[in-house]
Amino acid sequence: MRIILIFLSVFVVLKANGQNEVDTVLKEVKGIKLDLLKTPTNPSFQLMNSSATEIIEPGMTPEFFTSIQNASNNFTSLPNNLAIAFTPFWWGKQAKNLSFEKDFSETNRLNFTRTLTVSAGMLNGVQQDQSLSRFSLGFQSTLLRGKVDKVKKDIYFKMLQSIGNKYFEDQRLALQSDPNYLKLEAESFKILDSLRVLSVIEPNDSITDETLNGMMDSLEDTYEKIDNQLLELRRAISAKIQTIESSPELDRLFNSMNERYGFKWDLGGGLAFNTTEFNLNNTGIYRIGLWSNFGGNLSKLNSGNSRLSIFFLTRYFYFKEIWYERGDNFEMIPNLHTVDMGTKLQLHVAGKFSLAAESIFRSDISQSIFENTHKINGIAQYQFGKNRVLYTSFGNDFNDNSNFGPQNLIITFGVNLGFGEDIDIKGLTMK
Amino acid sequence: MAKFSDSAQLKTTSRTSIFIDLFSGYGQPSTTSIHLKNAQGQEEELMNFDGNVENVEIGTVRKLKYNKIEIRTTIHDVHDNPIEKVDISLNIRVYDEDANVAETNFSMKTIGMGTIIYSDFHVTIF
Repeated sequence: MRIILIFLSVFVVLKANGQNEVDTVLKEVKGIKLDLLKTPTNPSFQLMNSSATEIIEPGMTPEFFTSIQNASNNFTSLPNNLAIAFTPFWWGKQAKNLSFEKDFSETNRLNFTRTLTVSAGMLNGVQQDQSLSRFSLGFQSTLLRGKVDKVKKDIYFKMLQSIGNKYFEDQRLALQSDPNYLKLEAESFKILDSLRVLSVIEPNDSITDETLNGMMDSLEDTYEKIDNQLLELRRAISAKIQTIESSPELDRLFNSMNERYGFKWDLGGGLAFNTTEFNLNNTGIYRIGLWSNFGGNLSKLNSGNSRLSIFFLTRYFYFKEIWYERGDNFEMIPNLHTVDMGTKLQLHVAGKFSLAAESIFRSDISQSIFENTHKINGIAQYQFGKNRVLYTSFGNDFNDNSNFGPQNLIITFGVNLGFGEDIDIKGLTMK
Repeated sequence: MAKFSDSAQLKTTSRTSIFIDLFSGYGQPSTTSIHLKNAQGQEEELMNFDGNVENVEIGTVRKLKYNKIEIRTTIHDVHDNPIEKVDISLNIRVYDEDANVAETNFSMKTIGMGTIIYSDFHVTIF
């Protein structure tokens, strides 16, 4: 009877054909939304002497951002300090294939071209002369961006792995919902059961060893064909498991990971022009500058999203000419060279809000009649969305035009808006 | 993302144990779990591990013979080159003490920043 059952089980097995081709599918999942714009200024504003802050935290900026600002040194009903900035790195192919180890590394790597930002700006009217306008062209590059926090990187990586683990659960559900796969799998298990039974039967008068071996060989051959068919189905069904955009939670963890610590250092510079009534004959260089910001966190980053940081500035300016009041006299100082040194204490709260105080001292190195001056300034900024920074500042302006010391308050209100910086991470999948 | 599926039969003549060697590349973090699946569709996780293993016993022949084992591996590509493609590979070898072997190999060119490779290798022990 047992032999008959075994034969019956063999007959119900379907004929199957299979292929042994390797099936690989490479898909991209788009859409890690980087949150890069943290700065409340623009290199062009610094060149035009209308910046909300003189000292910035070195970092990377998005593909494009625009700065719109109003300042009390030329208040108008509409903001008239405008600047744009581009980071050309994001235009290239390499920006679509970033590396954990190079771009989001736990070591501080030296960069120049990856973080190079080019900016242009204009302002209409300055306090001393409302018919005067300024234009500027600037650049800024973060040489050292700091390190990615290992704890946060591990958290992000665990999230990636949990998504990876979900693939097999998705695959199991998809296979179980396919009737053909279930049918073939059941048949394959029947064969295995039959083989298990045959393997314990001792040859006797009714069934010889040769017969048993022949039956088992036949069942194994049939099994192999079914197994190939199952493989083919498994590949086809697995390929249909959909990919999706990165989730907001992944974005949040990624951007949290990208809040860096360690030493940060940048280099910036450019030139600004003055023009009166947009007349070419009345257009000339206002000043040329070259500067560097550097510093880092005073508190540990992985304790949360709040941190205290300190940054320093060293800056050189060449002024083509300035009119300088000393006593009752106005004198023109040609080719003035100055050096600025400054420091800034900055408190970030909950990754959204930031308060900072800075002081900068400017001294003449060209041995002219220019007397040292300074700027003390407070800045508040609020990040109201990804790459959206609202800011205000309050402080005195440098007095580059008299030896009476700082006299004018400068108050700014502005917004920086960044665009177009999504990157791809390959292989993040959820059904 | 890369998905890789394969299956094979291991015809064992041994009466002792079944072993596995798994190599998932240099420095690429990987996780592997091995499941035993019976005719009722029930699964039992036999073991799981991170990274590469060599000569690790999956189970006894007595337990595994005429059953299917499913070896599921996830590999994350975190290599250090944002532009150049590199080879990522997976080699799995299931064998007994008499050197009967079922094995699979997978390799592809990939770019870093989170490419994930999912591999399922089903081995039936005869």
